[in-house]
Amino acid sequence: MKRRASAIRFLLIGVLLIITLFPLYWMVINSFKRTGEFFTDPPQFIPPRVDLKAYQDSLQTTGGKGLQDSLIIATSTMILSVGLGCMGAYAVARYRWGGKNFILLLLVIQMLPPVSIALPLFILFDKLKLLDTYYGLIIADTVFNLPYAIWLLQGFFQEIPVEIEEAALVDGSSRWQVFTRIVLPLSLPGLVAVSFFTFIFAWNEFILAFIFSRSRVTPLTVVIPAMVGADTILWERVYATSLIAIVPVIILALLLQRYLVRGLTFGAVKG
Amino acid sequence: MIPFTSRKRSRSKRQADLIFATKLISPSLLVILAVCLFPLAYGIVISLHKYELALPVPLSFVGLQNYWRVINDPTFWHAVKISAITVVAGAVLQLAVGLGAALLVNEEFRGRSAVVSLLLIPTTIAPVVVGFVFRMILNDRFGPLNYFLKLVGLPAVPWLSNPTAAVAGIVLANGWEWFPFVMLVVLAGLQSIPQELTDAAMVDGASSWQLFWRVTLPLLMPIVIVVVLIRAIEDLKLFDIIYVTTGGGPGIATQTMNMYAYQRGFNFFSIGYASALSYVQLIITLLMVRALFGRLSR
Repeated sequence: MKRRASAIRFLLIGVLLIITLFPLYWMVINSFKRTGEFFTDPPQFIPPRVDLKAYQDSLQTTGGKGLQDSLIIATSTMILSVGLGCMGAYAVARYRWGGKNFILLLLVIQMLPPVSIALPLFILFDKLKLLDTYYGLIIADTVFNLPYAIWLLQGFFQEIPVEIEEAALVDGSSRWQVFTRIVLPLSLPGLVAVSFFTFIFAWNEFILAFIFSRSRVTPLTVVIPAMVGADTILWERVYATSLIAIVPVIILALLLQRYLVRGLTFGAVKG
Repeated sequence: MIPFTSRKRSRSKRQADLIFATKLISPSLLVILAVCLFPLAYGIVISLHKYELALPVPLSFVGLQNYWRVINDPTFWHAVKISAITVVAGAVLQLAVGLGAALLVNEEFRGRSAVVSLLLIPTTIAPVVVGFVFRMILNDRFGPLNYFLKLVGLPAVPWLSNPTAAVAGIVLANGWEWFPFVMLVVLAGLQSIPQELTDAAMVDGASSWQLFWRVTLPLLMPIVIVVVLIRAIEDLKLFDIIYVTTGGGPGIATQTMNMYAYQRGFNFFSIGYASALSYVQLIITLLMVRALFGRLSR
């Protein structure tokens, strides 16, 4: 009885794994196919060849530029969000700046429909000549990442025993010194986790990048849909570029698995 | 939470505290004010205007007329319906699969952590990429999903060409990306249930079925509600997957509130009307959150 139950359990886990991994497998094998091999009856589950042509083509055309732009935008967004965010978070965590209302405001920003903010920003950016620039995209991404970073970081700061900070204050350290020399080093794991999350969010972000970019600044999430032509889709290149876009993120996420629950729930669940 | 201010501090110290905290937060505040709250306010002003980029005189004040039009716009109500379906069906699917997956991997077995790691991969992938994968997987005639369905004797489903099936297709693609998130969070909740509690129930002769419904699930409830709330908020903002997989079609079959506002604003350049649409959506979001939060605090 017990054995049968565990056999069923492993069967179900197997099914779950197949469902999870099949789309990834499908992406990989289709990056090896060529025009005419994508839509066949029955579908081709074994790749006809294994080569890196689509990957080379992608990196040499729009994909390479996309990778570069994604890196620039995601890294800058990360630095800005965590840099500004850790200061703001400390003010919220230890000095209760703004009280409950400020925290509520941060939550509401997270709920804003993308168009409600993208539309007026589009008009403002157009007037300020910020469309299709790194600055525009970095600023826009930062606004949506900053409340998240503040919220999450203040949770990490609160876990530091307040006595340590008070003792340092009594010993004559300034408030700023307490923050930079005690609080920040003690919350290094939290800072690392929040950094990676803001990086990943900016890296995966689509609608803002799609609205604010034209031809000069094109992150990967904008490059991939642009591979859809009027009548043909370069599927092998779409998937090669997709894999280039997702593999770094998957590796980062696996390294930070410990923080995944906390990061994805806005800190609501500690995990 | 123990803020410094809770201690008995002299007035001058408290004042210095406030100045220090304000300095710390001012850069963040500046960004939020300039790039979020100001545009938001500007957007409300725009929504009170007839603002058509395609017209020679684009701007004229019309008061609440745009909002009145939204309320009387059947395409908008259709979009509300599609949004509601994707949010509710999405929550049910993600919760069912995520909860099931969490229960499956909750007990220790060899290779468990590797299985959990593999299962959480979809959640980290850019939604644009998920959209492109499912665009091929859900292909009516040549897609692998229909191939498998026919293999086990089920009828093929016109995933992307039938209006109802297309909504289901979107829910599936989005569900694939996010069920691991639900799994991870529920898993964290399961791990925090004290072993003594389940042991005691077992000693009292509860079946594993009773154990789940009478003990485990009630204890998980707070966490389940948080998960549903987060997923509902995020799914209401869903854009990428729909844009890539169906583009809102066939016709307007998968056009959510988000897609509709986007299309009005950036394809038809009815800036004023699109703004009004997105603020009505914001109000709907806030009402939904309040309703769910009300349940949470009870």
